[in-house]
Amino acid sequence: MSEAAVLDIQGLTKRYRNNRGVSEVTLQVNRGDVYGFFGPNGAGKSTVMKIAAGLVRADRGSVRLFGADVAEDYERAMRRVGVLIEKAEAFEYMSAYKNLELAARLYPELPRTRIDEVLELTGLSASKREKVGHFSLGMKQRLGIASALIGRPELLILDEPTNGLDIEATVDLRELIGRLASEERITFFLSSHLISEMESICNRIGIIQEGRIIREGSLTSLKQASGQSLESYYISQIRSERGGETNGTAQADDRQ
Amino acid sequence: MELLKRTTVNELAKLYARKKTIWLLAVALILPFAGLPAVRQLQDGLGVAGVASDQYAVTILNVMTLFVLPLLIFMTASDMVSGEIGDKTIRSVLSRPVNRSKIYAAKLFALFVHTAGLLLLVFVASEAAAFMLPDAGKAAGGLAETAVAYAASALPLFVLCTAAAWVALGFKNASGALTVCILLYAAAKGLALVFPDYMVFSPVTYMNWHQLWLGGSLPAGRLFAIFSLLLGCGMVFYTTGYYVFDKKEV
Repeated sequence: MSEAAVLDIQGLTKRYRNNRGVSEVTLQVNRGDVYGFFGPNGAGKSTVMKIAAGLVRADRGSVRLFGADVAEDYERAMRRVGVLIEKAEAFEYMSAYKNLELAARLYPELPRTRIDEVLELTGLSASKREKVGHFSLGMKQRLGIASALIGRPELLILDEPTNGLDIEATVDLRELIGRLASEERITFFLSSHLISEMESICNRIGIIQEGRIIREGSLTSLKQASGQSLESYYISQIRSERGGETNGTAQADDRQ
Repeated sequence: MELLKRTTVNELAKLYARKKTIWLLAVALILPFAGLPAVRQLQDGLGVAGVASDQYAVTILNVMTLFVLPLLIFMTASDMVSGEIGDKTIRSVLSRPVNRSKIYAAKLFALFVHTAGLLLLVFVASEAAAFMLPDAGKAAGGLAETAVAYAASALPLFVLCTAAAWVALGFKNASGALTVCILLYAAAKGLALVFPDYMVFSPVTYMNWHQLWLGGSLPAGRLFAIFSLLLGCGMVFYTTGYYVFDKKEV
């Protein structure tokens, strides 16, 4: 594990009863990265992210967050991590503020003002006393981000954060991620099945297909290697994978 | 310890933020008063010797521990465990820097606190209702003994909490868990009536063990035996429940 790696995944394997899952996934997210984990629906992105967040156990392999093993030292591993898996699930019978209060209570060192800070940051201040059950999908997703941000994380794990959002909410969320990465120096490990989204906000990309990482590297290196757009590059990689031209996990040369 | 306390506070905050919980608390508060007309009817209308005012709170406890409190416990445990697994809000709980052992313990502590609160509420309401009976003058008699019976009744109810949480872990919706909890409880109660000799090891058989704490001489040996059995059952349900919770993938 390199010193700069805040997330280190080694040989992660998980098989579900339907025989889907992930196999021998190895990747590292370095401090300051906005790492895009890209792949089609069902490729295994959520599985990797759930294992990284301790929600699912791996059959084999390890996940270390800031040097702490998720399976063995969960509290230390998660202390500087915020998580949003798939869509934000909040307690709908409580207000946004009360939901965040629940989360904030689990970080004893946090001042109470932090709740208002994250509400402000995600543009939910005006709705903080409203019951979450009355929120739109976009507002719920922003609340999910606020909840992930509450503990002043240095790494945010976001699984399909723009899923189900309309264009405006998607753009808002992208801008928020960009702002958090540049202003708050937060490292991101985020997944999407939308390549344009990855291209616009990520500096590193990992492509997963049928449970295996088929390409990984910096966005510029992937684009330079192919001399084309990321979308065309992805399609060519998928076709070559399917055609059996590429075997095993491939890594782009430069790991910037 | 600090995190366990904070997680328990969170569980209680979620529980009391539900309107349903407040309604159920109100029902528990009203029931002792709702029983008054029936007692008056027996005593005044039919001339049957009904319940003396100093026995009223214990009579209410007998009814409550037989049916009402178990039902309230099943509803709460189902919402707290299966409900959160089903609507996936459990993810927002599990993805915090808190071990699952603490989260499971916090859920049960919150259930215990809620159950103890319900008992206290029923005790106060029953004693207050007793003063409205025709022989209200005797209502204050045996208050200490009644309080001991209420305190004692917490143990089998706590065991029921661990059992309900254990059952609820197997479901992804609260209504399914609630239905199965009720059916299992009814079956255990029914079997205890039909096969009393075979059901001595069932914790459900001892929901009314508080009655052993009433009267002048306490049957120490029997109390110890039942206490040990209930404690053992509680520990088995808690430990196996935690094992399942720890392995749960959400």
